[in-house]
Amino acid sequence: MKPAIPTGPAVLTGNTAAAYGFALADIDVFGGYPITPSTEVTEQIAALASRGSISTIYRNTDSELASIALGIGVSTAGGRYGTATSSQGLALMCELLHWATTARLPLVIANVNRSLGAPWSIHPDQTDSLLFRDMFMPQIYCSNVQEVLDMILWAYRLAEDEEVSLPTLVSFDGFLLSHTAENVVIPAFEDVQKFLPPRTPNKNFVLPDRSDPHVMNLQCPCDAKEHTKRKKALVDSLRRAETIIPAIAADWHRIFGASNYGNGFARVSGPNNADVAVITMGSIVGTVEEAFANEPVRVIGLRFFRPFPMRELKALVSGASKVLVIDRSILPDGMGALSHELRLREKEFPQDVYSFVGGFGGQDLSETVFRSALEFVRTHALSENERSQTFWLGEQ
Amino acid sequence: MHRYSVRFHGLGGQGLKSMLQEMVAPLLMRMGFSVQAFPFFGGERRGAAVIGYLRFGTKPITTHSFIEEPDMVVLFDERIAMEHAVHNLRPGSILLVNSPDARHLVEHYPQFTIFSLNARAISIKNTIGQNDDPFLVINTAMAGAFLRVLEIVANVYAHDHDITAVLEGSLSKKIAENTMAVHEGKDAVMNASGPRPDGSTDPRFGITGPNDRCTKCRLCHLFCPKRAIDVSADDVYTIAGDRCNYCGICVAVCPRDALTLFTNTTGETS
Repeated sequence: MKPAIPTGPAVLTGNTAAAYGFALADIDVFGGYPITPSTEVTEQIAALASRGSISTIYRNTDSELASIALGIGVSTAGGRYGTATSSQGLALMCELLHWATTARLPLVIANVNRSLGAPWSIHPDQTDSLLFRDMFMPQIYCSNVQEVLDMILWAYRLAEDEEVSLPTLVSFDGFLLSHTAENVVIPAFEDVQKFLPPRTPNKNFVLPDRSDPHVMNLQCPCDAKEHTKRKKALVDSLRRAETIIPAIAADWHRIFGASNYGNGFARVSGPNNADVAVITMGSIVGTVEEAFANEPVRVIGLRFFRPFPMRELKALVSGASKVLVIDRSILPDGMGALSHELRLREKEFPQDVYSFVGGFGGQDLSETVFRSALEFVRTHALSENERSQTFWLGEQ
Repeated sequence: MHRYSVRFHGLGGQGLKSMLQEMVAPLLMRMGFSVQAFPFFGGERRGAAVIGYLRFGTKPITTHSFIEEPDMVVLFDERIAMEHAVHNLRPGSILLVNSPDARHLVEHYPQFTIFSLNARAISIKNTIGQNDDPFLVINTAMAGAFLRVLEIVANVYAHDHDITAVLEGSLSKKIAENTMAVHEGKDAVMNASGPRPDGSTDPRFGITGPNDRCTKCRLCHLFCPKRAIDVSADDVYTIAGDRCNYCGICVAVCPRDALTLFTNTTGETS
């Protein structure tokens, strides 16, 4: 059914944009278990559903675990499922999210990035979604409110590709995007339908019909060969995702006109022969762009963290001798998740990789902070030790 | 205008977030600006400190940082620490404050251009906020004042029909009352360092009473922070106009509704 929501230019918060994204995706079921700062997504879907403005079935669930369980059921049955959560809520989904990924069940989770405790915080960093970087699940990071709306639609398109068939995570920073009202253009439902047709369930992963007289034991197949086959298929599915993202981007531009989405993987600005390239993701991409607007610096805002677009990124930074990586996450080895990915691939990224982390628990990352980081990168040669270490941004 | 940045300080319950995101930001969008508005707060509780950030201008806004050096600060409540509120506000910048009488701020902060209005009185008068609510909603009066200050300092004019359209789109109830509050906020805001018509107090507000419902309980006298309510030996109550700052506390504490706060902008009383 055509959702009864506004179309065209509007001022929306990230949470409202996400709710409108789900509405335009015309999802069958939305499972709600609200958590700050993603609560309004759930509230607004519930309001739209109760008013009959969308045909989505809204269900209160009794936890995030129940929400993803509901999603597994809906997606297994061939339906389109969506939910929104944050931080501890996403963490609670972990067990069944593994099931959803390995069972190849397309669904979309809007995750509003928020610190995982302790200490308790409702403010953003990206350690919650990056906790799931080892899952076979595409992860999208939005850099503004328009992207929040658009990427929900991209996520379904990617998730439901027959050869991808995976849950997909759309992340956007708490408060800095979830509660930020910005100029947005809400696409028309008719155009969205061209981009995102109704789901065609992948027969390989669907349960038999209820009328099917055969009994199927899903519990204990004890089939190592089948298990191994599926693990290999998971690797292939993420590779497939990497190959079709540019096609999704091209399709988007064909229907909706030009945007800064490029080939989908990243938002890129600045000269390609710049000596310094910056890689970051999330709401600070725009802040970095404004901070370095008058500098010969290439700024790369990574949109897809999974599948990690190694080839694309390698090409984007090939002209630089120094790469400044800014992460809103920290790993046990003492570096941010993006730096870790680059340093894993020294052959592809032979540049000096300066790893910076910050913005934890809502710490403000301002233009001034980024300008001093750039000054440091320009004037400071990395010591051997610093090649595996991290610098902390801002006031400590 | 390339970009204009404003920082708002308020308390939970006063409607700062909805004013920014549901009134001011959509209004500025209608006027053709790129706009960005976001709040920052800890717990979502009444009375908790809320900060709001607003950027608007003719060019797209891509940054998502807090506003370090605002062009203007809007203060919803004088209970907020002033040093915090005016942090990094450059000399010559604008401070708009909800205060019955902001002359003390003019003395403390001569480096700013200070505008003030009694948003609380406008809210109570229009039956938007309850007068016994310590964190009553004042956002439409503040929005009106903010729009008037933008006219003065930034040459940004919002048409009445745009204001009406935005309010009708964002409010579900008390639309007429809030529309009135926006216009009264616009009319009431004044340069706090400017001269007052009577040389002393704000002439646009007054307290009448106590009327014949008064039981001489003296609560108003006891709670008046300005000691502006005199009680004579024979129990005659008089409100001293030179001391009263129209905070409305006497009106709030009166158990018999014997006192009334009114504004002179329209001549109506509440």
